[in-house]
Amino acid sequence: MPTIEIYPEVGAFAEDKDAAAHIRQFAIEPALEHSGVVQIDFSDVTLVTQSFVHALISGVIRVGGEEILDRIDFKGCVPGVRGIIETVVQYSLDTGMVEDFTEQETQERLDQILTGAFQSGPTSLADIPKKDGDPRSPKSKTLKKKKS
Amino acid sequence: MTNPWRLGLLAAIDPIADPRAKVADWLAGHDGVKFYTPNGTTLQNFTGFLKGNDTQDPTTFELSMHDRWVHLHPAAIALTACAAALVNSKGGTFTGEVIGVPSLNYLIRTGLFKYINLPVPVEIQEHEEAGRFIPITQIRNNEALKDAIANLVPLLHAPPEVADPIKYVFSEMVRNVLEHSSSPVGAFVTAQYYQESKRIAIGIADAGIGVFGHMSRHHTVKTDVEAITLALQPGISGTTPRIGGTSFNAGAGLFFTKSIAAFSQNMFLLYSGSAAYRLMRGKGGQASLNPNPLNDHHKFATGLPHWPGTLVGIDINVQQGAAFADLLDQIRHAYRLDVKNRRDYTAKIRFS
Repeated sequence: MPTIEIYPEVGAFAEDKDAAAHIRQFAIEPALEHSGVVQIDFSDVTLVTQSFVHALISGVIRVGGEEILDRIDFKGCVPGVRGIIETVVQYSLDTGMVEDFTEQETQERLDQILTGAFQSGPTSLADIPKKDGDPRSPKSKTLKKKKS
Repeated sequence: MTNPWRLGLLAAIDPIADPRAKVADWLAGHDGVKFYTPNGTTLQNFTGFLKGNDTQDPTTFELSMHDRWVHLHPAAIALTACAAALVNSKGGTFTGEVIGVPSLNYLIRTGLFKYINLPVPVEIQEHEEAGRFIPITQIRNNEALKDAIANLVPLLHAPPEVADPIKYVFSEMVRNVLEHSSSPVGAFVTAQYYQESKRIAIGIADAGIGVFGHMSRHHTVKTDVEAITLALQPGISGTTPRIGGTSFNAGAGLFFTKSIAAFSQNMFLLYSGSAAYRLMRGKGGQASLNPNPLNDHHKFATGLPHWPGTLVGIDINVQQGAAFADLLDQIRHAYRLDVKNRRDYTAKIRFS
């Protein structure tokens, strides 16, 4: 399986969208075309922006659809990188369904956003599982340590 | 006859946001200055600062300063520097007086008076800004952005939970400017880290086409409020009428930045044209992340002095041990596109 290493291209903070688009166009897409599979190696990358990951994989996933996920392996992802990848994959595949909207439906949705009528559901932070050091929780371990 | 471009370097207060605000009679003689606060310009009272400005004629810049104390949020500093740079680029003139207030050394060290062509009454000794702030930096291209992230953020000598949010916001917001704003003076960024309160404050300003100018290219928007509302909605990009954006632009940078502030129980400001959206602090210690900004706890100020470009201000609370990566991970729970039949695809992603 061909492996594309991100760190040597952009360093520990992967934020350069132009570089991401370049990697997609000249490494990821050719690898998928010729080998059918590709491994994207995020080892040593500590932080990514959503824009970087979007430019890197969104186009591939939109074109390939859900099945393309069986042909891409994401290696060496720290939790934050993994979370951004999951976000981008999710909305990229969601977007394929948005394409089913007619022009009129799209405009209706935009109008609903502007009037506040459209809610895809607020996410209460209380509903999201908390982790150690979570600043939402006044009883977090971090604060307990500080007080003692 | 138009008014000069007047920016009052005075901490102003929003009487609506803060009922303690008092109109100070002794300030009546200062043009463009209407309100006074002893606590300085924060995102909480930012619209008061904006209302004290006048931006009709960008060929003259009139500076007025509080004569006792000036404390400005980095967003106010970035906006002022950007406005001054725009006036400079047009060969404009500067009037007013720089007053030797106690905080003047800080304002000088931010680099503000490199852009405001007025004599400064004191000389200061330049020294490293370590641990306090990132000086005003004008960014015009991709390479300058990468240099800023690589060289400026380390000045804070801060742990990752402090440095990472600054790097992230700098990158996302400045790339917006470089790609979409057509700002003749590029982007102006600055940030401050308050170690005692564990708070990061960031400002990014440009003098480009503004949110309305960008969003109206592909969307039917009638006002600045409508344009800002769409710009903050994830999946709505000014580069395409299509929900979900393009393969290069997702239309999600502002949503993520706003969410970073919301998650840390702090504030976010987006000012463009004559309107300003402010995400306010969550009530009762709980915040919610909404795809639609109108469903957030927010305030929209309208009828403000028209700023042609865009200003973003953000405050982030930092907690020791709370990784920024975890925060980004949480935002995905709130990222919802308007789709007919939503499924969860994340379980199918292969990680090794």
